[in-house]
Amino acid sequence: MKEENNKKLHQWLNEPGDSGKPETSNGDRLKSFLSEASKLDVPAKRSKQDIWNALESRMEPTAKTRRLYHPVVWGIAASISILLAVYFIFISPKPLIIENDWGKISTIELPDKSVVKLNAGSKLIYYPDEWDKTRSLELQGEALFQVENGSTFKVLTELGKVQVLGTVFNVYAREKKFTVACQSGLVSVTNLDGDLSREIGAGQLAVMGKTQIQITKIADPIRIGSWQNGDFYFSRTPLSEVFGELERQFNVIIEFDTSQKTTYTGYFSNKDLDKALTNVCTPLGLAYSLKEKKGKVIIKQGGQR
Amino acid sequence: MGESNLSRQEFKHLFDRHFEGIRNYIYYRTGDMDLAEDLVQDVFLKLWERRDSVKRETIKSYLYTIAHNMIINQAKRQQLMYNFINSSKVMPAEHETPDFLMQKKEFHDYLNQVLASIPEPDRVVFLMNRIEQLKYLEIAERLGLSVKAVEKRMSKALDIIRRMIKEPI
Repeated sequence: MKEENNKKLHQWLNEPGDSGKPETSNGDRLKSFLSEASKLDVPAKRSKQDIWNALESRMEPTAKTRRLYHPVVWGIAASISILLAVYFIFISPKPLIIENDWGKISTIELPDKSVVKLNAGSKLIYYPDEWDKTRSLELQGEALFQVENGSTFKVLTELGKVQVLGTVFNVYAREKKFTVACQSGLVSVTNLDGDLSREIGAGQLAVMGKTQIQITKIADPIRIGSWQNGDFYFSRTPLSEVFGELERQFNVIIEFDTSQKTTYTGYFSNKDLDKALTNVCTPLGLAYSLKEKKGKVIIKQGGQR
Repeated sequence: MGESNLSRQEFKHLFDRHFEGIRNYIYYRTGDMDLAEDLVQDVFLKLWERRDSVKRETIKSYLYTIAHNMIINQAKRQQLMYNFINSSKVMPAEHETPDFLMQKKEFHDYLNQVLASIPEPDRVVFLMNRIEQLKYLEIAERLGLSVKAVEKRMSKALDIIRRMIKEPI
């Protein structure tokens, strides 16, 4: 009897929700104790940012000064060392942040001549001073990378990370979707915890899931990163994602029935909003009205305008 | 690709992801927030110092191991006293008379007391589940335990609580 109750109780504790309410002899009291306990929080005194700042000041600088042994150059070396030390202690590495507003795609050349095409509504952060040491950058949104051969090149996102040596690949990390498409070379994709990791080769697509990374063959690899030329292709893509891309490309706000579970397979170009909307809406039997002055588009059911 | 060198950004990511968990873990074990906020820095600093040799796959449980070692190295071990706060933000209603508020306060203190009296290993698991709403699998991963062991510890904590709340509040 008690065993059975405990089993239910564990189920309930492990899967929060109202299903499987535990029933025990003094169930009400225990249940209310458990739910009261879940409303508790630790009495934090300092903010996370505050603690990070304190921690960062204690971290040693990543670059180190070099030692020279020749007695003749010792004096010069010493003064250079001091200068370097002063440089690294007082001028800690500063990040370079490149942020694209909606409606803007840009091209960024990295210190090693690798090239990044950054899509609209996306952000790229890296440390130019540390680039020689670690080719590592942070991405929010979408970008296409053409990586020069060299040491490991890392792309970190809020959803997972990508490591390569030298290749062309596209990273998409928006909302909860994290995908990597590889055009050439070999790319390693890892989740944030580091317990899921897969390698993909040319023409493959990795989609990050909760328990595994799904790998599929890309039907048309030539289209990887075609957005850099303003061409957007979709294959059974949720409507919210397609409208999200339209919003970012044309810098407009799109109002639509978000409860719709329709998907879109097709194409639009970011050269002409009216045409793009027709491309997306017509096959789905949707109508749109365009208030260009207000930068607003309203999508409704019904095929006629 | 086997390179294990942790970059500054990756380190920041790890901090952002695990800061609360580690800080709370130290608080669950010690009931001392000042200590928790100091030690959480030391834990991450240690990871940073060892960034060249850490195994990526085990970083999460490694962080909890460092925290564990730092906690047991803390010589002073006083009587455990919790000071958990209520995180639910409910507007004071009309029926909240001074009497009612008093009762609420008493219940809250009682709750803190009961929690502090659960033996440590079971308590930590119980608090991770209740306060951070972590699933057994996640707790197991953090503490390097099996899910079965987590369930066992939860059962023990529940037994203690059952026994304690039988007596009138």
